Amino acid sequence: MTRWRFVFRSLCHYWRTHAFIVLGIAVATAVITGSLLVGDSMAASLRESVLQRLGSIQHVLLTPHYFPSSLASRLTDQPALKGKNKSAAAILTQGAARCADRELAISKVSVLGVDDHYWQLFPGAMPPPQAPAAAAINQALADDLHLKPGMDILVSVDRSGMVSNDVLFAKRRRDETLTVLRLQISAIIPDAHGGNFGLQAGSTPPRNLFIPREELAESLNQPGMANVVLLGKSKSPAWQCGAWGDADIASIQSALASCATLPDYGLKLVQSNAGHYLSLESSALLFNNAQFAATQQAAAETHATATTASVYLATRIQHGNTSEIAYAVIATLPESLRPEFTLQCASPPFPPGVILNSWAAEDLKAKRGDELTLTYLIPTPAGEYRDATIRLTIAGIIALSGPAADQHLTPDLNGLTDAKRIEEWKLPFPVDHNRITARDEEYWDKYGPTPKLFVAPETMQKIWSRASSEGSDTALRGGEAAPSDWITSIHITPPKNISLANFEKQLIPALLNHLTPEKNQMLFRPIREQLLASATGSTDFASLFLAMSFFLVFAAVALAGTLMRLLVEQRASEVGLMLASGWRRRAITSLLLHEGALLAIIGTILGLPAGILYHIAILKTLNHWWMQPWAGGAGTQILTVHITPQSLAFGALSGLLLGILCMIWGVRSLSRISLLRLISGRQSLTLIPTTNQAQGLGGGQSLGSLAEHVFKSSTTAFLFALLALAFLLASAAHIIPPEIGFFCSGTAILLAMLLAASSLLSTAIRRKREVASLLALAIRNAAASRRRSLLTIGLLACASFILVAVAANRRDYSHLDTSDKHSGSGGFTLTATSAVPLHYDLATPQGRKLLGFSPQEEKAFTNVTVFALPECPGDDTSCLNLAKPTHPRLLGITHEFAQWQGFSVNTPWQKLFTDPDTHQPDIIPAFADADSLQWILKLPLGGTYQFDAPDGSPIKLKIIATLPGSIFASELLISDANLKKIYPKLNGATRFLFALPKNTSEQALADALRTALADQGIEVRTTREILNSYISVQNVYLSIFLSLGGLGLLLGTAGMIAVIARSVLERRGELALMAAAGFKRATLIHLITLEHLALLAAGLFSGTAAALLAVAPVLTSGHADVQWHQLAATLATVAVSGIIVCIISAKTAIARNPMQALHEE
Amino acid sequence: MTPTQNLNPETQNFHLSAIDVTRQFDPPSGPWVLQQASLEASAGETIAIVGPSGSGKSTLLNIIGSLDSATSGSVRLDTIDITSLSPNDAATYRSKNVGFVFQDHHLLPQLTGLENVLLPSLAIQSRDRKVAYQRASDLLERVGVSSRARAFPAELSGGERQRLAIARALINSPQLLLCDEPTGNLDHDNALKVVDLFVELARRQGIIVIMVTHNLELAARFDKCLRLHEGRLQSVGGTSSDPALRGGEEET
Repeated sequence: MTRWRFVFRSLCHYWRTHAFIVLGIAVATAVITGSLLVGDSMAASLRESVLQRLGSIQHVLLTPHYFPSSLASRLTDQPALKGKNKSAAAILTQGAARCADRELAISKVSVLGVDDHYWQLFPGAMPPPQAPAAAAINQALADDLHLKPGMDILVSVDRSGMVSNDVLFAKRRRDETLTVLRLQISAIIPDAHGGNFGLQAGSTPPRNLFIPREELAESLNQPGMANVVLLGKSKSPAWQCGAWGDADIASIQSALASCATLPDYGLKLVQSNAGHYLSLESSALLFNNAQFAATQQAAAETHATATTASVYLATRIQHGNTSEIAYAVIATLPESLRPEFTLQCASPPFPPGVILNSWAAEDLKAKRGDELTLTYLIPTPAGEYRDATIRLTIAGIIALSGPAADQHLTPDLNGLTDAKRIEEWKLPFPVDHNRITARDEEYWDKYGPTPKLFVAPETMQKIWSRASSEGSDTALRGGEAAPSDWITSIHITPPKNISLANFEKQLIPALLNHLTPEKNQMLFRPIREQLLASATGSTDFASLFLAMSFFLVFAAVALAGTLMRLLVEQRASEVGLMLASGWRRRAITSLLLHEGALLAIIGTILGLPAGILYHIAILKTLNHWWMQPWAGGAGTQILTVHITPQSLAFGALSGLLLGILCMIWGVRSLSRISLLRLISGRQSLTLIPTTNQAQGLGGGQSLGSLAEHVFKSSTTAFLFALLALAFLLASAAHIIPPEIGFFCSGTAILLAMLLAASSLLSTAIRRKREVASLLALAIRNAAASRRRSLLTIGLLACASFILVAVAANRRDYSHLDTSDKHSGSGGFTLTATSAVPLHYDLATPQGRKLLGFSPQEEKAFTNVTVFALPECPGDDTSCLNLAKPTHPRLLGITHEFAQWQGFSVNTPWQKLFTDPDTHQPDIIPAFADADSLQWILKLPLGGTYQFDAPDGSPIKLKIIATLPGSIFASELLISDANLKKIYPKLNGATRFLFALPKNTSEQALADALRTALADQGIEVRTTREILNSYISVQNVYLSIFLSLGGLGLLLGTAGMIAVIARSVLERRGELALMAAAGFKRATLIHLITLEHLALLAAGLFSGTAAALLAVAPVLTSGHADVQWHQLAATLATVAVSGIIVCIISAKTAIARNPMQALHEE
Repeated sequence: MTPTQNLNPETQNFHLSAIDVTRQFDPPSGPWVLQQASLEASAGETIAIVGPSGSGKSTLLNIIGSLDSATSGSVRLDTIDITSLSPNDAATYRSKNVGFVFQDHHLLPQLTGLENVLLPSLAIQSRDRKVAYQRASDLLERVGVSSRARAFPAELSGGERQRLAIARALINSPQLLLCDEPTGNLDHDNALKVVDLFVELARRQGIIVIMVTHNLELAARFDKCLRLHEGRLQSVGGTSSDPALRGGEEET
């Protein structure tokens, strides 16, 4: 016989109680460990996904313009990078894909033009088999469209080019801006072999389609070009985990600057021998300020002169009523002609001057001093071209020779300058060929696009700005036109006595010196570092699940601790005997603690695998949710199991510590029982305090006794209730976050309820009223075992608290009245996004006609209000994105949309168009969804969100208003003008909102959109669907929370069964006596059932009331959508199952004849 | 002599004296249970204390066994002043010098008979386990339940349980065996056997046995019988010379 043997014997003897204690500790350990592991798995899965998406890629250059694909090899040939890096040039563009032979379609497919170098960036990857018109796809896309190798796919991609949509020469027609490729699937690329390439972290797997780069470049009219350079380390033992630092970015940028050429910046130099100048032209047609400034600096450095030049196309030049020219290029007067001709920019009423070449003068029969009317087209967002006119005075006539006959005055314009005849023009706007004369064709044949008219730069600027201002109202252009935003070429005239060829050799290095990559939005991003940072996630899932499990852990620990305490009380006489035998109190306590510690260890050991299983179950639930198509899933599991020793150790230690603490709490009651009372075997802890004990409290007894006394006091219950009220008010006044308010007030109310119950039980036994009924006797019995009764009440209260809180927080928007402007739908029933920008206005009938809507389809738009909003691609800011957003998606709000006054927002929408802070003009006002701001961006209202623009400059968005529960949870809202400032290359709208009158078929409209805009990859969804997809994330957490509540309820039930069994066992003598006195077995069962039903009712009432009070701010906010009938049904189920458990337990416990127990006694 | 010393009753002649022991519950206004109660006992002597319920018999026993403290007066076992012991010293004193037998046997249900007997020996860390095991076996033999050593309390009869409790009280070779109505739950024959066992143990091992009982017939088998009346001990006389005691139970 040793102490350990004693401990072992005790463990075995009291195994039933011990099993419940172990269960409590195991549940606590499992829940804590599971929560930590969920956090681990989330983070590791995201990290794994990032590493899989990037292979060995460390840095990426993604530009808004195309550059020669040779840049990639030139870059790695630079001394700083040579031998250390691998690179690949690629084309990355968005497109839409659909099956060639089925209805299945998917928008927002990443179409990648890659070559063999790309596959070398992914260890183990092999290039897919090459064949004409063949493409490889990744698994996610294959799953979405049910594609297999050998099947055909139709892919539409945007090829509108670099010219801004509001420019006359911008391509807008569907056949010019969209190309549809029919491709045969050659292979499905495994995720780990480059198939999942993507430049964003997140839970949504990218849908990728791979085409040989040159083939795609040809399709986009960009032969030999690319828009992406991927840079990876050539030796990659450490690529799996490492990321480069900032110093490397500097060296890469430096190498890029060293090897860059003008075409890399989308520029080219054209020699004009006629004008003896070099013309700098941009692939975007117009120059930006940085390019213009750099060119001026380079010219000054080479002692040359840089002058601006610009052209436009006049559609009619009229002289009087008889003579006119149908179409003519007009240009700014070249510098070389300026000494000869001067054009004064007269202010009205005097028209500005114009110089005609002799051909035009002859055609118009015009002479110096005559007035001309020049008509030109202004593009409107709807897709129309509106005529504008300007009156000009002929300031001179110039011979069609020398600089005046210089075709290079007109930069290369696809469809115009490459046409041999006017008849062959391929321009975006309609050309009336009937008005073109043979003489016009003759001019084109001889002189091509040589301008017929020359105007002053100011006049040309006016023509351009009128065209620009037309677009500014409709978000395509926005803001003030940049000073350089009308320049179509820059003429650099060399100093005298130097040939153009020699000068070009001097100018190019000077230009490249000033035209840095940064000024041309060519910035390498440390993509690996950024995505790994983003993969840390926007939500700390470990904390989230720990918080959600709080009440369950509390219940589990309470069960374990209280059962230990009850066991110690049960063993009071045993302890008394040992004390009488000479054992010291400390030794006995130590022995019991050894028992407790062993139980804690067993509980922890069982809890660890249970925690792993619990975490796997949560991952399965989350995976199931994220696999849904509307959540962006592709049917593949994005979350995989990752078990870290740290979390296991922390979970085990936490469980063990909690277990040991509750064992200490259970055993410490020994110290408060007098030795004689222990020996007598009267474990009086649960009974009313004796006079002696009460007096002792005043006489400075132990703190434990004092705490016990305080715990019992109803005053403390009142204080806790006040504390709960304070938390609720603080939460309502936004002093503390709502979730903190919920947890703190919930805990305080629950404690207040339990204290009140404790006080009531004490009162019930103190009052000593006559027991007049079976119910009164039952309540007296419950009060006699106060601690046990409190355990039951507490466990059931915790469980019902969770159930009610969950039900109160659940929302469902399936029946939302979407026509309500102030709801989360903003009054819109449908919303659509297109994979490629629409170059005509979907909001107008004209625009729709140009987009290809048939008259039948147009009928679906009757009385429908449509808003077309520009959107820049970026990270989803909603809870649908597991990764941390680093470059948020931005939506441009137009004035028209602001006037709609939708959504429940306190700040006027017009505030988006004003500066929020006059002291900091660079701060951009923004609106955000309230939940996204709080949970994902983790910013308060008024907070500033900062990120880098494509040119590397910092962007600061100040959140000036929030939209509660809105359809805009995935993006931040700023004015369209500000959006254009941040993303100047943004071209066309991709987001559309539709407000339908009541009783209008949303299906007809959705069908019309899907049919007409199939090639543009239109995705139509109801706002209800969108709101439900956002809320479903919350609901999935609530479901898990509900499962935890169910588990809590299970614990509560287990506790109740244990309490009933124990109660009957202890009171078998009493029950036998009652049987002897004539009570029937049924009556005794009734008594026991009544006693525990009273506890059940108290537990359910406490939990329900506490939960309803804690969620009061949500209920009164007006956004709650509580399913009361569902909640009532849940509570009824709990109550009924509780009653059944009570009856069965009581019947089982009093299964035998009570008289038999009396004989035993 | 210190409380940690073990008086060997078989080799030493020791003496217990309780002088003017008083005990008041809930002072200063509570009832006086003992008022100047005194008794003397020498090694090998058996004393029975009788008295009505609530007269303070168990309280006196608890004070002698250091489970309770006297309000005034002194209790000494040879040189050990029991009334002045600290809780820890009192525990040591009990473990080495006192054995208790209660009306309710208080056997631990999770331990076998032998393990129950050995339980007090675990309170003394330095105790040789083999020696303790041997002594436990001897004691079980002596009290007549050696055949039930491996049985759990639930498998034993009331008499067997009480014999085990006596063996347990003797495991640490105490000088004092304090028995609080040890035969209260036993039938007459078993009660007589148990009392005779006490007398035999006192004779053979030279220990002092003090037994509280209501049964005057049993009390009569002891060397000395004291009546506790209004808090004071009064000598009833030697058991063999008091025919009244032999006449039967005073109370039932």
